[in-house]
Amino acid sequence: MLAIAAMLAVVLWSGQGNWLRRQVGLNLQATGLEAMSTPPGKAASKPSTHPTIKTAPKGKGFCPT
Amino acid sequence: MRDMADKPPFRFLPPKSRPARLRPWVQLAFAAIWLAPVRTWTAGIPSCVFHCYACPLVSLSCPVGLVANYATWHIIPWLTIAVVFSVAALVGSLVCGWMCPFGALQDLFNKIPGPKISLPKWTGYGRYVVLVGVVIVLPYVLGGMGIAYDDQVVSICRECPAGAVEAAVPRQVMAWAGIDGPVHVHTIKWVLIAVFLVSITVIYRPWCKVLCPLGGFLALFNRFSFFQLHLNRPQCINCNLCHSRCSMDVEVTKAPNSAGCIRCLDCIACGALTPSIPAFGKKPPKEDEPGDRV
Repeated sequence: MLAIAAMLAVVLWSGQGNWLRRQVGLNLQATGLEAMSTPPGKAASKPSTHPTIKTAPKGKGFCPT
Repeated sequence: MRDMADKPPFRFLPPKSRPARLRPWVQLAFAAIWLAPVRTWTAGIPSCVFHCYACPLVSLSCPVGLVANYATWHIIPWLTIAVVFSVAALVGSLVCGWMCPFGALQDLFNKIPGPKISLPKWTGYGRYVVLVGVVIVLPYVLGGMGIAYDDQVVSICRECPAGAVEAAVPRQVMAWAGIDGPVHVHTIKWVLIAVFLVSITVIYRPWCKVLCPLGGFLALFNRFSFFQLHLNRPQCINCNLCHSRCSMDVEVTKAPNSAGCIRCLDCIACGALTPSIPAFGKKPPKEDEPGDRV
């Protein structure tokens, strides 16, 4: 527990909040929910230039069906 | 000590322990958390349970799906690793028995009366084959070939029964009702759903026992986690109650913290076996202390 608390403290203290935001953003992209989370009227974020990354189309969530 | 296998199982089981009686309610409470319709704000955060993030009602992301996606991208999912490792270090596979909504669904269906089948123990290694082979190596290789995760014909998300039951079925129903857009559920998916529903009625938690990659990973921490099951050997009278209660076919008296256990705590009714959290000061009772007996 102490180790986890220390790790979190270091992450927050060293201004690594961006790291957390990047992780959450990547997770959203992985789940295909990024476009769904975009507020109405705003465009979804640009698709990644990574050759294997496929951003879900706007308004569509990832569905493994 | 006599061998437990020599003893017949209990014909009439005594009442379950209090924690075991509470378990369905705890599972229900956690299901309400995982099914909370708040994903607009929380979908990017990984959870610690096996619950499809394509489900119309989902609060957090499935860690297995995230790891497979990241493997396709050749990126290490640090946040998912941190969440799953932290939970595993704290409670191990207690998550499977008490928090997992997919486990709760299997528990519910297994209450349907009928013939029940027991699986051999070696089938438990299937979880690690799925974890390494299907969740990490396969998407990593296919990702390297330039095939996006959504386009991979064989992937954990496509073949996952949780995805079939929690996402494909409700989305199809919503499409039929005109609430959601059209969804095409493949015939193979319907066959998977049928096989899964039949198997969970005749086998106790077949997915957890044989194929769940997350459960397999969490179970690796059972021996080292803060939460432990402690057997007070002098108190044990070999009554076989723990073996009769255990639906996961764990040899409770030999290895109470084995990887096959989901820590449902059905086995603690006699008092010789107790849950303990030594690192937090709640230590197991001393060897000579009398315990509650049934």
